[in-house]
Amino acid sequence: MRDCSWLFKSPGKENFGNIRPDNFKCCSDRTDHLPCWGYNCIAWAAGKSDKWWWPVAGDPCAFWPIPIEPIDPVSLEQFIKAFKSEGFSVCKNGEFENGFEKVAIYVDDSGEPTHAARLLPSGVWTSKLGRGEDIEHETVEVVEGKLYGKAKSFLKRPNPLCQKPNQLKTWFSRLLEFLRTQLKRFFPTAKRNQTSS
Amino acid sequence: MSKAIQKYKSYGNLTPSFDVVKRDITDYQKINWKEMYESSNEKHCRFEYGKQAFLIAAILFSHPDKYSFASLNPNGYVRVDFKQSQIPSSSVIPRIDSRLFYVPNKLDIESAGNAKLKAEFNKLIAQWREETFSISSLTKIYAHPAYQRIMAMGTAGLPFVLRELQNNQGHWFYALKFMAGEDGKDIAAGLNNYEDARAAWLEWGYNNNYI
Repeated sequence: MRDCSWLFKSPGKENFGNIRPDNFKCCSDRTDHLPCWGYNCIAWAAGKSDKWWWPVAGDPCAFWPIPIEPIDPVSLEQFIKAFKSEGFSVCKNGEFENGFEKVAIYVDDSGEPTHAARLLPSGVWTSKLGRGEDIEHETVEVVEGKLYGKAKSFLKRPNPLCQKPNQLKTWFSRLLEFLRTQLKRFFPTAKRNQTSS
Repeated sequence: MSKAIQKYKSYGNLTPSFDVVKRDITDYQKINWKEMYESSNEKHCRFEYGKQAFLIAAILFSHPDKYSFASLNPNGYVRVDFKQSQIPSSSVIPRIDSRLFYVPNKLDIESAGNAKLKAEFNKLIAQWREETFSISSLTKIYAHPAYQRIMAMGTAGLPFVLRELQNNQGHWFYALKFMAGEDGKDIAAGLNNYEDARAAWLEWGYNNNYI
């Protein structure tokens, strides 16, 4: 079910204080009906969507790309190591860089990782919200808040698909989107009439 | 771990409710099996399964020299073999003549007074699902108070968790490992595949009369 309206109800509302209807887009169905709930934000940030990534040893529902011991603490360093094993390296910030895809790792007040997001070639970020939907959000800050804390570390890896969007093309697509919205606003029944005729 | 606990766990199929286990271990050294049996009728009658298990455990612990053997049959009866001339009088244990004690199927705990536990389980699972919906951290998901409370149900909560695993999806292997204690610590060891681990746990639950 693709329905992100829960983000504006309790407890989602309190956890995602920066989310507004105009700064994110709901992009997938939720995955809580899948075995082990499908995949999570860490897997999604690494470009995978078949496992729930979390460093828990001996749990058939948890996957971690590098070996872990049961006594290993869940730390930012451990997450950085995991992303490095996927070809990422630490970088300064989440700004778009031609030829690179980036991930942001979020930590809570205690410094424990909570979430990860990935920068798309289009220049927006994508996040999987727990066992909920994937969303696209304009900035890393959109999903910051009570639940995920703040984006603390950034990593990047080469991806030729990540090229800065052509400014002219961007403006043109925005203009097209605007015209489409206006058309819908002034002729809301146009489509229905067309279908019935 | 005390001798009493070890001995009790060796009769894993008979593990009763927490109240009973606690009392059993506390009083193990000074046990008067007749008194314990009678008090179990009064104080633990809510837990039919626990009461019966308590009875068997009390007998075995207090008179290991008199009773040589106890086993749980698939039909839910516990057979206790007494040594010759050591059979207690029927006035103390009414059903002793048959030498069989009925232990209700573990699923019966719902109908035998554990409807309250089931209601609590349903409430906890709904709360846990809602409050962890957007969390990715398994550390936080497993540390959630509702999940911890379910884990604290121990063997009494196993039928509910196994049924949840059977009917719905979810992260239950972590809880199951702790709830089943020594008996269940190796059930899914080394299995990295969800379906294999799920099948192993459900088979174990079936074999041990939990589902």
